[in-house]
Amino acid sequence: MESLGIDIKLLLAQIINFTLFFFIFKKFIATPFSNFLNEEKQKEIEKNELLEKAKKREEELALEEKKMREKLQKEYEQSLRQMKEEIEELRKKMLDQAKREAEEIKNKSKLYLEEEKQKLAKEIKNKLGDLSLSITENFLKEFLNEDLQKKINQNIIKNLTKKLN
Amino acid sequence: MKIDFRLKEELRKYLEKKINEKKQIVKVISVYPLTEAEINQLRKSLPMLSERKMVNIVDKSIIGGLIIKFDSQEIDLSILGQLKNFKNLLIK
Repeated sequence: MESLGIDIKLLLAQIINFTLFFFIFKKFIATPFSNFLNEEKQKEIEKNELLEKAKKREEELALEEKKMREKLQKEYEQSLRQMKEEIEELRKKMLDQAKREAEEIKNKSKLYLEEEKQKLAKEIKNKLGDLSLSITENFLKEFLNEDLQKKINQNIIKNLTKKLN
Repeated sequence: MKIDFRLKEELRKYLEKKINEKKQIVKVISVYPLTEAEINQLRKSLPMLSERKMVNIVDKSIIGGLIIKFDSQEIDLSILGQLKNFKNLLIK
């Protein structure tokens, strides 16, 4: 071996040295590092899983939100339609009532006018009657002298029995 | 206040007498005072009143004719009454 230039001692020492180095390296550097890498990898996987879950959840939420929005939109439209119908109905009712009231007022006014007209006509007739009576009274007072009065009385007395029968 | 029974009775009799007297009176309203002849003629025309006392009241507002009042009745034969009837007819 020596003739090949190999120093057995040195080789042994180097083998020992290498073995020691190998064990130390494996125990204190390679294994923790490997563990660290594995942990990191695991963390990465978990992270990805969580991310995926979050994404999925986000999608679900978006879908739910969409559904909710659609539902709300539908409800809003339905409410709006219902409200419109109610308003229309109320408008019709109010219009009908207003028409009825207007008709009632019209009829009342007509009646009132008719009554007033009749009252006025009656009043005019009354006044005319009074006036005619007054004119005739004055005329007769001037026209009838005592002789005529006596003749009238005679005539009345003569016809009294007939009148009473 | 309590009124004595006899006094009450007397009062009642007196009032009855007065009422009867009033009932017996026939009021004749005319424009001028009626003559005796006219009153007699009137009595003849109204036999049911011939026994009663007639009182002549002068009232120029009746214009002409006569109004005879007895009991609760009134016979209006005045011109004013006729005119009023005519006016009522006109109004109707």
